[in-house]
Amino acid sequence: MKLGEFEELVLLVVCLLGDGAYGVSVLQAIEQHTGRRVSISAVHAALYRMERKGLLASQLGEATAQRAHRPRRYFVATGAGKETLRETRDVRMRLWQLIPEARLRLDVP
Amino acid sequence: MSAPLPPPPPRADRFLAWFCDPDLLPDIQGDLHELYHLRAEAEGEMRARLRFWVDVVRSFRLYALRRPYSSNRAIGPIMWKNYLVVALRTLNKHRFYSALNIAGLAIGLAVCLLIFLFVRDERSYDTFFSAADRIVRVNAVFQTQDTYSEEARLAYPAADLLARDFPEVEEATRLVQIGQNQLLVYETERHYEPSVFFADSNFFAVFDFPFVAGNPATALQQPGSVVLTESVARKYFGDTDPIGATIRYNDRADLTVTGLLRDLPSNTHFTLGVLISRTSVTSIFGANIYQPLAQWGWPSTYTYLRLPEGYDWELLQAKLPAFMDRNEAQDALSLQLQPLTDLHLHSQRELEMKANGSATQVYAFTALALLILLIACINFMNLSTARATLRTREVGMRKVVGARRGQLIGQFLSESVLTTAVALLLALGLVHVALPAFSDFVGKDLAVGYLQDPWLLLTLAGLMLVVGLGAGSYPAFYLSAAQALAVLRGQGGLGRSSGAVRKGLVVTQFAISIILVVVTGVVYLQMQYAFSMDAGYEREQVIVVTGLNRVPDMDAYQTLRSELEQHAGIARVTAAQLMPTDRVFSGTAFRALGVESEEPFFFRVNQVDYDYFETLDIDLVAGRSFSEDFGTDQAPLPSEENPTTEGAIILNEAAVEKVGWASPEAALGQVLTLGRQQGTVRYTVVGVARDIHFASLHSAIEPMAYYLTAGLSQLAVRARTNDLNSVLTHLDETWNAVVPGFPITRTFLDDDFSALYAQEARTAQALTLFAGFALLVACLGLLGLAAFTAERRRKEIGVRKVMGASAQDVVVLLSWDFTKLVLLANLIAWPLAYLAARRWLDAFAYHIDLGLGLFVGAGFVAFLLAALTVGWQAFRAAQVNPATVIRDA
Repeated sequence: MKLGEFEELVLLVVCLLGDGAYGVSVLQAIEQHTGRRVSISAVHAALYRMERKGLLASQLGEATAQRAHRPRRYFVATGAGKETLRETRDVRMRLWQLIPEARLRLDVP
Repeated sequence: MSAPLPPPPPRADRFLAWFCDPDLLPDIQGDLHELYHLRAEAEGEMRARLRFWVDVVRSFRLYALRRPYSSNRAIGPIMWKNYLVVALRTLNKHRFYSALNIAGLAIGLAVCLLIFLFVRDERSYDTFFSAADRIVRVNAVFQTQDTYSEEARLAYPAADLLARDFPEVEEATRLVQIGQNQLLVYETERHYEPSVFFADSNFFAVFDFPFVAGNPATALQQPGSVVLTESVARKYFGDTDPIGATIRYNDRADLTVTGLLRDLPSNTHFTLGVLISRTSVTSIFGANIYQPLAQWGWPSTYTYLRLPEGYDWELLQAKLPAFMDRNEAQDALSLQLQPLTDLHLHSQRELEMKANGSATQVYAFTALALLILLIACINFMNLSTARATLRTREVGMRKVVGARRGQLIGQFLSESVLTTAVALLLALGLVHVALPAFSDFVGKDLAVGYLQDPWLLLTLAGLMLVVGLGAGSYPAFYLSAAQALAVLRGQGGLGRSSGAVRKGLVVTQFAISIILVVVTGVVYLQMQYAFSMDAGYEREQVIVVTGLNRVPDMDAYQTLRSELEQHAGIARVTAAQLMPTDRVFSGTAFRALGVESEEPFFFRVNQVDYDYFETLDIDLVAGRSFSEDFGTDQAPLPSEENPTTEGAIILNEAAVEKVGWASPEAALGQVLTLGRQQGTVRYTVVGVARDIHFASLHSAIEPMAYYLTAGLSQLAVRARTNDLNSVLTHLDETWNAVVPGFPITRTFLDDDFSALYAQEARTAQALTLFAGFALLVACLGLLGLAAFTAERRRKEIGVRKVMGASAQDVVVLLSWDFTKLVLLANLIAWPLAYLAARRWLDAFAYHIDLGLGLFVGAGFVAFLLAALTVGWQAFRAAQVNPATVIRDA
């Protein structure tokens, strides 16, 4: 399964957050760890897309007054999700290992 | 925690709820709200509100949008089947109401369809020519200070001049009419042909009438050629091929048949029977005929122009005044172009080939059709909503098991479309049965292939959808709004009372019906008035013989007259140019001696023979009638030796008033002069005749002058016996003896009079019929409603009866509910009916007064019908034994 760069990021964050991953917490985690500013709708889009692909599963959580009494939807990575993350990482790692160290030196053009 | 934070911008929130897929909405809305609160603490409320807006707008993305529900929750065939089964079951379970519903709708649709066919035909006139959209007819307009008339025919030379002066005129073609009925003879067959024209050789190049035999391009080229229509040809030649045969025209010339035209369809303004090549005019009438033909004053010719593709005829119209100036036509005459396809509905000019239709009538009938359909739809809606209260449980159940409102609306709409479809089939059956009679009635052949017309079928399908959706919409939306829980708890669950709406609709129906009844009454009474009105002359037992100008000379005419007068059954005989049923147009200019006026006086002229006033029993209000005793009443034509001649003239009251003489008596002895080619005639007023209505009551009385002339065109014979047959036999025999070779053509004056009102009489009949249907359909609806109410209130009635109410009380109780609606409808209908009737009557110069009686009468009829309908149901309800009703609770 192919993952987009942003999707990969979201999936990683969901894993990072364990059982506390829902729209707002994912957004905050991304901003905190990457320093990027993303919009909540981009996060939603990625979450629902990956849920449809079967990489994520979700269940409803608690509703609070601050959420207009709407329950939170918590996401966790499914087996397929974790598998995809691993594959992505493995591909990267292989590529990293294939590149001679010298070529990655910043002082060489 | 700080002070309670105001909620995020509600408008943004609502916007989100509106566009967002309901499945995703809780997640997205929840997250946005949570973020809003977090941000409000961290960054302040202002920024949080702003960012909430931004987030809402950015959430407007494809994945989050609401799906049209059918795309992801399509109703499967199983649901449709269920709907169908339930619909049929409902129809079947309440057969009485279904029958009322369907019958009312079918009648409404059938009437609508018939009128649609009529209107379609009226609008199709002359559209079948391939160049129909670029042919115009040239009309003549005569306008003086106080006369205005438009004539369909024009002077003969106009076509040539137009073709010469304007390169944009592709073809100019004409039909010349010389005389009315022409005698055609072939061997033993002798008939008068009413529509004989001399046609230019390019006539068929402009109007592509289909030929059965002969070549359209050359048929009218040679002098002495004639083209006949099939039915005319059959009269003379039977089934033999007429091409090349010789037929004798008016005992003057022989014509060779060169073409056979298929009979004209009814939807054309042409009445063509015999077309003689225009080049024959000289050979038949001699070259001298062109002298009068060339004058602008003789409207002898229908002139048509074919213009180039895409050319706007109004451009040509704008150039016509200058054209007329150049060609030194009369000042009073101007030309007017009129598109061919407008001729039928928008041309009521003098000298039209046949009585044209009227756009107003087409509009009125269309409106009628729509009104009747509306009444039928209202029935449908009323009965359905009334019945709907019985189906709330079904709606409740469906909602509980997951039906969405949209699905319920769909269900009820499709149910009503289904019912409409059944009604439509029934309506088609009705139309099929009624069409031949209706065709006859309106004098058209509507029945031809109407089911093969794709437009008609499309219209039918459209009508079915519109009526089905229209009539079903209210019950559908109303029913589907039922609150499932409340319904199942037995609390009704329907919002505001549907009764008020129903009552409003009933009032509308009856108001429409009452208006139609009033208008029908007015039309009918006006007809009565016209027929019974003292038109000022005697029309019973007066026989009119036309074609008197075929009498060879004055001696023969005198013989004819004296022969006729000798018959015991004949009271009087006279002759005249015009009979009172004829139309009189274009005035003649008189000058009154001793009266100063800039313009001459334009009087309509009727040239008569002695005894005209006596034969037709027209009263003279002053002076005397023409009499042979004086010997000086008839003025000889002025000539070079004798440029001024004298004679007697009789005016009508309107003419006396026009000149300004104080009284009819004052007019006696006054002198009017009339200029003639060779001099002047001085007419002394010897009498003043009562104003009589020439033509129909539509037209006002015009100033009119009568004087004596020889060589008139019509003979009038007044019989004094009941044995009309012997008079007619004597008349026919005498005519045949005096005018051998030309069969007599005679009519009765009272028939001619009735014919003047044929159009109105037909309109009146049609209106009566349609108003009747409107009332019938409205009553069907009321019957259903009353039956329904009576049924619903059975228990109440039972209890009332137990408590001592009489049957009479019950009937009054139930009837009053509805009859008061009909009374209210009266109040609405009267002013509207008054306005409509007023407008129609204004078209008549002489008309009835609108009394209150008619309105009260119409209201009473509606009231009575409604009361009977409802009363019947109420009576049935009142008859039921209360014990049975109350027990089966």
